[in-house]
Amino acid sequence: MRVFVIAHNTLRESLRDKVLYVLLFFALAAILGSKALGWISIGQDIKIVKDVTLASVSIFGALVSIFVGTSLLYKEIDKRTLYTILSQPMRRWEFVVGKYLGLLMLLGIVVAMMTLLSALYLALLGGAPDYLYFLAALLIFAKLMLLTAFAVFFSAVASPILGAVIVFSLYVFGHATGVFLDLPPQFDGTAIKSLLEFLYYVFPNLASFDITLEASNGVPVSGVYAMQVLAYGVLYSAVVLLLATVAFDSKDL
Amino acid sequence: MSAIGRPVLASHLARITAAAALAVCAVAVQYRVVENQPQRDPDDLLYLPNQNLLTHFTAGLTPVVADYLWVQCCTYVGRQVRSEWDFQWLRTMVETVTRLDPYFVPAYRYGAMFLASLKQDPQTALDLLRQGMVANPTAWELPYEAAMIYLLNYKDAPDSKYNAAFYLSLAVETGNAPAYVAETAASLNGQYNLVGLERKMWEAMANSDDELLRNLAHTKLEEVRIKQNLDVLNEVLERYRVAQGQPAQSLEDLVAKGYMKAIPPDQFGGSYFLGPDGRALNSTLLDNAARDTRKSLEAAIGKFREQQGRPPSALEDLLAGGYLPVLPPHPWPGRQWRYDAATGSLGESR
Repeated sequence: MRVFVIAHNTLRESLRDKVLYVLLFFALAAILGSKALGWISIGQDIKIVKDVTLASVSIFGALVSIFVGTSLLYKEIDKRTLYTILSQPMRRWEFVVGKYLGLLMLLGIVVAMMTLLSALYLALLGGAPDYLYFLAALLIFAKLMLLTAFAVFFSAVASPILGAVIVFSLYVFGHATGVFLDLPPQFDGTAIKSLLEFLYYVFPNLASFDITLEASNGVPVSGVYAMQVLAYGVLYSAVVLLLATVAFDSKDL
Repeated sequence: MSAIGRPVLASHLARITAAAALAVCAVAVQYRVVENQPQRDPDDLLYLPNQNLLTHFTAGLTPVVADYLWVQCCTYVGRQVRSEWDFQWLRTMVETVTRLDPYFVPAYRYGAMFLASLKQDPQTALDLLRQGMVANPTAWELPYEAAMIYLLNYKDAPDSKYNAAFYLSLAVETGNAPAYVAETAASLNGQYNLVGLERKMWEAMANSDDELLRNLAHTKLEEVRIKQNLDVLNEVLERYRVAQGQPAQSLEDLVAKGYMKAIPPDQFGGSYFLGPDGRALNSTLLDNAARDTRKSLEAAIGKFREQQGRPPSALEDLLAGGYLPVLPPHPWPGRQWRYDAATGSLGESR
């Protein structure tokens, strides 16, 4: 119950954050401006609009997650509001989980708003989105769920700027883990190849959440795959969040 | 209020005026900057990282990067057409785009068209289209463009018509091709008895790594077998007519009179029978042809409805509007297409 009170307060507080509206403004500009790219291309301007709108949901959602998430706990410590909260009958882990859930609710609203606006825009352009488009948006939300867990973790152990840099790098590299498997033949049979293969499965694989290529080209994606990716997102997020609670518990406040 | 506000207002106005003057200066300076900007190599964009790495390091923006590069590719082609007519980077650009987004059918299609018709590199264009066909087996545009390359770029090669017919058949097989593609395919197939060649090509495809293509090839090989059986049956029917002095009344007559041991089986559960013109027909092939023709007609009706905001009042409207070059007849003898103008739905009457 206390977790949800914190979550609700976090959502209310985050909605007052000006950074959110600046990011939403740019997202809106990117979504509405996507048609311009279609005009100067040959063939499938609707596909290009779908690509740009889904990319906007992903990148601006990630920026909200990073900028708001990495300062989430730090701000409470810096403003000393944390001491008032923790003087109440509340455990530290409850505070961390509540903060995480609050930010997740904010991201849910942001992603839903951007997706619905994009879908409306696409419908106006004559390319009504199908279920794949919404599935892609759902998996983007699952990706942001994982990214937010990392943001909260780094908020507990690092300064907001350092945390933002690390989580942003993680966002970029999380999409590039496929490079561990895409090795030149000279690596065949070496210990490095086995190590990289192991790391491929251990590192957060954000590319798995990305079905935008399929969504914009109308290539079917199996429901089983989507469920597996969602399960992966939930499990990995739970692991990172658990570590965040441990880190915050051990923090000398 | 006004006594306090006036100096503040004056100060604000002074600052706004200064800002506006500075903005004008900045624009004037920028104008000079653009004039004196060093001329960059227009191809510098193409010094992209290794394609392999680019695929991985797009931070989840792969489709957008592919779109951006495709726009650049179109701009590059336009620039080259107006200037040097040198398409040195075209292949790299198109390959990079399709590697990033293997489902980007227009990039394969128009990229191959540019390569074949502008760079005069039909072989690379064909390679590109073949890659596209593996990734997008239901896109009729790709085999269609391959057929066009054989008909236009390789028109003097001895096997160009055979290859064109094969790719047109592939386009028809997708079930999405417009009617004119099916018409052209049928015309070429009729002109060049291609059944033997078609069989060899499907046999080659049956060894493909792609399961979808393998299954398609097995189905098509069975259909080729039926076509070959029909050729044999028609030959036997002709021998029967010459020997007996009258045409056979049914295919069973061929068995009864000892011209054949049995009518061959149809693996798909269909049957062979004698058509009204005295030639052998097969229900499976006729059903498949009816399915493909129906799809083409429905696609044309859908396009008409999309553009005109209403269904056509008659199928002939599709011809007048340029949605179809000809109205394809129903492949089954004695059957006709029945069109309901109120709902825009297509049926058939027997």
